[in-house]
Amino acid sequence: MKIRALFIIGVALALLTGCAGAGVFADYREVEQLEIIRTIGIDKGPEGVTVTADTGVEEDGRAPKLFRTAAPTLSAALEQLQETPRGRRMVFAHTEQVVIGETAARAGLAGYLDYIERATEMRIGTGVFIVRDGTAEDLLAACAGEGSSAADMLLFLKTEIRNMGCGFVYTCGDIAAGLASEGCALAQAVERAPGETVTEEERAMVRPAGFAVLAEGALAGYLTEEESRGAALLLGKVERDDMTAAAESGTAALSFRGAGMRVRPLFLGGSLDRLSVAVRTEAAVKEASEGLTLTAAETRRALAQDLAARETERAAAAVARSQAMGLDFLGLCAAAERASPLRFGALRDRGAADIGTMTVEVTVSAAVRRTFDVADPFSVRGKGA
Amino acid sequence: MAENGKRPAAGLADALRATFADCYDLETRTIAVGGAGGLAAELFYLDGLVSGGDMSDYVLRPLTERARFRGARTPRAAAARIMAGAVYDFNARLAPDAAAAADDLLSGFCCLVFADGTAVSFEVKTGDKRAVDQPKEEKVVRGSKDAFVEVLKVNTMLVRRKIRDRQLKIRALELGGRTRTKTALVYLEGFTNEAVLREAERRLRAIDAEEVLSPAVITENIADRPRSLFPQVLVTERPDKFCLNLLEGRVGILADGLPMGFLVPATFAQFMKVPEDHASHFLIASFLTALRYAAFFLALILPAFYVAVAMYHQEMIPVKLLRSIINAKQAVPFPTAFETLLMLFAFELLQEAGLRLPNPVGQTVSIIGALIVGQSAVEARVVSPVVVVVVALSGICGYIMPDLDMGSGVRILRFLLVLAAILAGMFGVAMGFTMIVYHLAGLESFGVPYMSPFAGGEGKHLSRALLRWPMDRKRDREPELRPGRER
Repeated sequence: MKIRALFIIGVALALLTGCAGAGVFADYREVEQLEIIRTIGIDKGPEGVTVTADTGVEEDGRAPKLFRTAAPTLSAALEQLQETPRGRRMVFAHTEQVVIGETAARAGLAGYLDYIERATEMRIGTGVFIVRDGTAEDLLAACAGEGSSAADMLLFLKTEIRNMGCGFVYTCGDIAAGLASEGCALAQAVERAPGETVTEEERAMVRPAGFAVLAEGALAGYLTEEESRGAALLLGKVERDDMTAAAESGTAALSFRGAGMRVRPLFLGGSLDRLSVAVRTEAAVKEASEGLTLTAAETRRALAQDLAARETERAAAAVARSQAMGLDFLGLCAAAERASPLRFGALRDRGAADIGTMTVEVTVSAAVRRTFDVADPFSVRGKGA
Repeated sequence: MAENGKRPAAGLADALRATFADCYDLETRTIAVGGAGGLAAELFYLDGLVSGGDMSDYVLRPLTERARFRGARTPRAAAARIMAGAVYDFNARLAPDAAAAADDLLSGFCCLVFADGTAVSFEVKTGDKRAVDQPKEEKVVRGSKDAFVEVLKVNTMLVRRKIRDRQLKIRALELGGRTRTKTALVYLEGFTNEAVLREAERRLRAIDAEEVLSPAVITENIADRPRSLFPQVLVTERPDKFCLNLLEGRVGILADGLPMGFLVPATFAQFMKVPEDHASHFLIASFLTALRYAAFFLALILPAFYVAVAMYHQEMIPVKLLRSIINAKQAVPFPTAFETLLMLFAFELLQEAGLRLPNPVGQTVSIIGALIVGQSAVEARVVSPVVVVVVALSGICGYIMPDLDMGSGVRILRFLLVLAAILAGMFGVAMGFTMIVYHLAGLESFGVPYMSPFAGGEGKHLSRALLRWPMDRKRDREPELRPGRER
């Protein structure tokens, strides 16, 4: 009796969820009939949207397969890819990154993000790249070769860019959330090595090209490399970066990491005076020039000050760019509201918290570690300055 | 020479002959009690059940000594002398009628029948029995190396040797209309829940079977839900495991002719434990217990999970693994569902062949099956290597189950879950697994929730099921097994 009841409940549940019968079998596909797509390139074309699908380097090192199609919408283009009789069904569930050409990005990428968010097969954790001065199709095609593909290069970049200190790969979900809450967001821009002087191999490589600023669902501009480094530092996206700092007795190569910014709104007489943005970095000496006396406190202090001054410059440049564009892509206002929910929150509610007009004071403090004397490592325990 | 040279009169002796008509093993011998000229009597015994040496030394020799029966002129007087110790066999008793005498013969006695129908039985049971050996089904890594045998008395002796406690009680029962198998209900008085004990005895007495020659007669007749695939009676051939469970407050059952002990109530957690847990470091024991739970889960669900993911949810497979699977599957002519079922079926065939054949041949079959057939099947592209790995891993996990019946249940359910996965992907697996959990949560064994302490029990005792606490911090026994606790 119980088994019968359970059976009936099971069937009823299956019917209610729409997962029963043909509905289930409609999703069935044999694994060997699948073509796994790892990167999708989106461009604007005369027919609407041009999609280039990249399979990444094959298991045996063969060059990736590229599939191209064009249709009025992204969803139609992807459907069209399925309809092309290749004997294999394309799987977009393993798409690790979406590459959007500059023209398509300028025309508006909100629709593409909307599709990715709604698609049951794709993930909102997919990384987004904007191709600076180029198309996604060209980038994917240029990178495709024996043992190399844009999919693999971009995947590598996604994990390694935090160690370069010049950017960060935001996902579809991050960008969509930023656009919805602040009206703007950052996306990682990439480019091929420019110019005629580089080798063919270098031409077929992808490199970071700073942050792309997105506003109102479209590309609004790019940050320079220094601005991008400043933005990455403020946003706490720098796992490791290198810089040469100078003191009176010589120079030292430093490796540093940022801990993210601390934003405090400072009020004067009931009105907002300025935003104080403070960032703390920690650096370790990688290599010291001859004659540099790291054990001396003044040397360490000088190195830290030099590092702090240069990082302040970068961060201030990023803030200035944000203010110039009138877009709070660094999230300063949101951070200030978290620090002072009542007073700053009220300002924002009134629309009086305009990033473009408020005074922002950026301070970067630095500490230098690993300052022991190599000849006598026990002499000084590398106190920071 | 018997008195007057006559054979004993008809009556009880004839009745015995009639009872054992067509029984070639019934032997009789006419003797004169007290030597030549003494009282005529006939000695009945079943050849094979009695020890010839014991019968000669302890029964026949004293019976034929004139001095012992001087003055005993009647069978009654002779019987009285016997009962008083003239015959020094350790167990002698009067058989009031033919039925009692027949029962005695069947129990390894020889029966001396006088002419007037007076009968005395002497226990001369043969000592021929299998020696106490190592357990065959439950391997001992570290612990006592003895196992139950087919003789009830030896088994009770093994238990007594381990628990030298006056509170250890062994209550005798007789089961089976024809076999009349001697059965013992073993428990520790004051340790065991009286309600469980009463219920166990009631169920045993209620067994309506002609024979008790196989364990299933007991396990299926006393289980709460005999049709369930999950065992509800803990069966062990290890006396140490049996005793550990008695000390936990369980009721043990031993039956003559069955080289194993039965324990009730049984819980799921109990099937995941082995006596070695008490023999190794508590951290290792706890880790291995957790491993057994993981193995149970994997043995049950791994093939179904693979089928569901490979057929419907490829997005769940990491991209590199998915590519490997695709590459390996390119030349395989069968769909995933078929090749998985095929491999599972082949695995069961190999397992059964290895189990039934004599040991050396069985091992050969396993080697041929696992290495040659498996490898050849992959090389011939009949099945993909991933399926072989999945089925083999699932099979190995099944072998980790300490209990054979639990492992067998998992084997059947594995097939059902694979079918559910074929029909409805992960939804089918989830539905199937939910139904298994529902079924398990509803099971009870002698009033104790089967999934206790995970469900229906006291949550605070959860750690006892999953961990083995250090000996100096050993936790209480299961609350459901405590005396006086009734549901």
